[in-house]
This record gives sequence, C-alpha cells and structure tokens, in this order.
Amino acid sequence: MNALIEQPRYACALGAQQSVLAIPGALPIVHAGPGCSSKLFGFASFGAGFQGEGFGGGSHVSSTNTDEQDVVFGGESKLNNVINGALRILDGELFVVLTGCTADIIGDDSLSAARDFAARGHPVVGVETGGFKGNNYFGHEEVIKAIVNQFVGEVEPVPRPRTVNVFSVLPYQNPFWRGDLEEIKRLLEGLGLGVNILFGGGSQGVREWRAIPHAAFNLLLSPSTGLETAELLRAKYRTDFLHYPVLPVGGAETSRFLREVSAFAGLDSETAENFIAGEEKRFYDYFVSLADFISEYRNNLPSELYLVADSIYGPGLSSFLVNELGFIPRGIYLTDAPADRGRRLIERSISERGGFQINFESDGGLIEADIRRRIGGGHKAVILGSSWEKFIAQDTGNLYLYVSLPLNETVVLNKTYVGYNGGLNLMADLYSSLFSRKTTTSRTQLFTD
Amino acid sequence: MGWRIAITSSDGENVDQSFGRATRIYVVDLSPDGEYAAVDVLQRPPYCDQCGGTRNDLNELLRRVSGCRAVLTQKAGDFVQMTLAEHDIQIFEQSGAIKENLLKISRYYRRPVKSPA
Repeated sequence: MNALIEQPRYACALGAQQSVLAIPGALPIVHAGPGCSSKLFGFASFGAGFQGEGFGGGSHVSSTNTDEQDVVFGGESKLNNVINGALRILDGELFVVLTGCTADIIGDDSLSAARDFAARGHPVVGVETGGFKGNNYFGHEEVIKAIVNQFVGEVEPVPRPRTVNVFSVLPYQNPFWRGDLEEIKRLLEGLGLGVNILFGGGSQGVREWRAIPHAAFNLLLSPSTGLETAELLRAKYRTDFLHYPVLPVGGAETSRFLREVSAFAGLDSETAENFIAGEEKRFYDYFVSLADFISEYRNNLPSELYLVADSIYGPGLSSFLVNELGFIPRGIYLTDAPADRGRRLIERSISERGGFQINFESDGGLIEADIRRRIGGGHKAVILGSSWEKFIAQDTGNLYLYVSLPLNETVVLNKTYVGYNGGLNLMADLYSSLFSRKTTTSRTQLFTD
Repeated sequence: MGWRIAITSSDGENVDQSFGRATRIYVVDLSPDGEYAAVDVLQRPPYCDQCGGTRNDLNELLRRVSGCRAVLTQKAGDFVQMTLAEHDIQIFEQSGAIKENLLKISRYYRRPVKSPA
C-alpha cells in the first residue's frame, strides 16, 4: 500500500546500520547511494538525543555511494572494492554489508559478494535492507538473523545453565536503549543469570554473539520485533524462549517480569524473591517519599496521559503510568506498524493490565490532530513523545516528556525508563516538568520574584 | 528513438582509453535494441594536461561531440566531467567491450520513466 505520512517516527530498513553499530566490534558496510547512511545516522543517532557514533561509524560508515553509473553497469565490482578496503583499514571483528534501495532494485547480488568474502575466511555477512522492504524494525531483525545464519552459523549447542540471550529494544531507535539494556541486564543478573545482552557497552560484543547457541534460553522482551529471531534460534539451536511482550516499567510490572523469568528458567525462587523484595523496598521507599510533593502540588498535577512511542516501549510505559500512578489514558499511539500478530499480542497484554484504548498509527499528522482534538482547552495533560509532541504541549499549555524519536533538543546518555530504576526516573522527570514547563503554584507557600 | 554516443577506444571494439589521453573517438548512433552504427571516427592528439593539452583543444573536442547524449570512456577528470555536464553530455566511466556497454546503456535509456504527477 502506498501512502504519504507526516512526521515519520522511524527510518527505512537500511536504518539497521545502527543495530550493527550497537554491537561492540561490528562495522556496517553500506551498498547504497550517497547520503543514505549519513541521513540514517542523522535520524537515529544525532537527531535522537545525540547518541554518538557507536562502535565505529556514525556519519563515517563505509559506503559504495552508488550512482547512475552503477545503475547502468551494476555496482558489484564497486561493492567488492569497498569491502576489500574496509577489511584492509578498519579494525572490526565483524562486517555487515547492508544494501539500500538502489542496489536491491537493480539486482546487484550483494549477498554473493558477502558470501565470497566469508568463504575466504573474512568475517563478512550480507543482508538486503532496501528501504522498500520495510522499516528499520524489519531491518533490525534481518540483521540479527543474518548474523546468526551467516556468522554464528551451524554450531552444536553446549547449553550453559543459567545463561540467557536478550532480544529487546531497538538500539538508537529507542533513545534510551543504552540505559534500558543496562537495567535489564542488572535485573536479570540479580536473579543469578548470566546475560548476553548483545548490544551496547554492557555487551562483550562479537564474542557474545558467538555464544548465542549455548545460552540456556532466549528472552524476548518485545511484542513482535525479535519474534522471528527467537523462532529461528529455537529451530536452529533448539533453544527455548520466553516471550514477555511488555517492557517492564516500575515496581509491579518489573516484579511480575522477574517472577516469570525465574519460573521459566527454573531458578531458585527464594533467591528471586529476596532480590525482588530488596528492589521493591527501595522502589517504594522512593515512591512514598513523593507524598509531600503530591499533596502540596495536587492542584497542578497532570492526570491525563497522551503517549506516542513504539510498540516495544509504549505499552510498558503507559501501563505503569495508568496502573501505578493513576493517569487516565486519553491517547496512546504506537507508531512502528507492528505485524498483525504483534498487534493482537499487544492488545491482549494491555487488556491484562487494566484494558485501555491503544491506537496503531504511524502518521504523525493524524496523531497530532487527534491529540489536539482530545485535549481541547484542557491543561491537565502530559504528553510523552518526540520533539513533535513538544509543540502540541507548548501550544496547549500542557506538560511533555521525551520518550521517542525524533529527538533533537535533548542529550541522552544512560537514562532509562525501564525496570525499577526506570520507574523512578520517569516519576522524577514527570513531576519535575511541572516546574520547568509551566507556572506551578504551591498550596501553602507563596513564591515571589 | 536513438542516442548518439562518443566512445574513447583505440580499436573500435573496447573502451580502453581515458578521455584526456584518447587519440581516437568513435561516434555511434545507438538504437533502443542495443544495435549501433559508427557515424564518425575522430582522430586527435591527446587533450590532457600531461599531454600538453590546452583549453582550446578541449573546446574543439567539445564541439566535435556536442551532438552526443553521452560519452563512454575509461576515465574522465573532474574538469572534463563538469564541462561535459554543462553541455548536457552524460559521462559513463566503464572500460570493457563496447558492444556490451552500449547494450546496458540502451537498456537504461529506454526504461520507462514516470513523470511527476
């Protein structure tokens, strides 16, 4: 189906170059037109909280920069030259060749080029990520499957007890992925698990990817992105997987998540309960300490929730805000166009968590119109979303928090809204916004300039 | 429908000379099915700086290829590329057999092109 949308929230499949850059030791080689790679970096890293260049690349990714000449005569020889050059001068442990629209349309056999290098002993993988094939969520999963199939390869698994591979948020597309993965790893280690987190600074990089077949189980923390990967690993290495479709945010969901993981992995329940008790005590001690603030500023507190995020992040965030903080869900928009079975799973997960309306919508223009219509003249809303939603909040005199792309006006380092720590961060940011984004008055104290 | 193409070649069979160093330029009329017929062969001294060429030599060369849609050559420098582009002459840098290269160019030129709505 062809359609024009406003305010796009994701990139094309080639955006998966960012997933490669998120693996320590891995480097992308892009077989696409000039500008493709740097624009994707601009969208998903620079314009996404200034997340930096990853393992090595950023706006300087190896690219064939295909032009009209390559359309007419084919770009395979140029691709071979660029792979050769990259292998010669770049210090990488794994090279992932990603194709763009041009290469896929004219029919360059880029996968064969990658296969030829691999056959000669070079750590090269090829994946077709022409933009017309899907978005960067699709591309992310294609990259993972390609690395598993072509690089990790046929391995007889030697399962290591209490180890897990984690497949979850999209690197860079989720601006908090680094902090999120740190928190997820911390939580799972708290249960006594060894964790292959696979992406980001907490990963051991390419070595960890080679260990994928030997994990005791796989954990899929996402409604649909990653499901094909988990199924592939089950078929290829006979590794079972736990599918937990909601990213845990805050005390209740995180404890539920940890209990399910513990039970699935057959871990000692006493260890799990001790860890959960300690984490919950800390979490709710902080939570309760908000009481003075809430009572003092209750006339100013937002109560209506609008949220624009992807289907990996949105359900967990909104569930926490609705079920633990008491927000009224007025408009929840999931922007990444998940597949049908993902949508059904999200709807079922939400119905198990209080049941509220969610909208699958990729068109930012339609989202904006709907939010403006629902808010009307009200000033009791908080909008969690991208830089686009900031404008709506400012126009309507409501609060906003950044949680999704595009994100041009803030710097993101290790922030997370996942887990116990993420729930605390979210509460602090949410309520602090009262003082930075609108005029706020105390019930009992008079502030004068 | 057809296109006039200038080709730098020493033997009329292969693209084997760069634009600046070419001593012979074949001018052919290329038809949409990839067939072609030579209409002219230009003998000339090399143009490039190292060969002692001047701007006047280039201007004379441009005059001779001015009716062409494209130049098929092994290599062309930036200045030549810019100058030819100013005259709406496209450059293809591709060595190898003239017959095969022209077939690819004909396929490219005859592709359906959609006009913007």
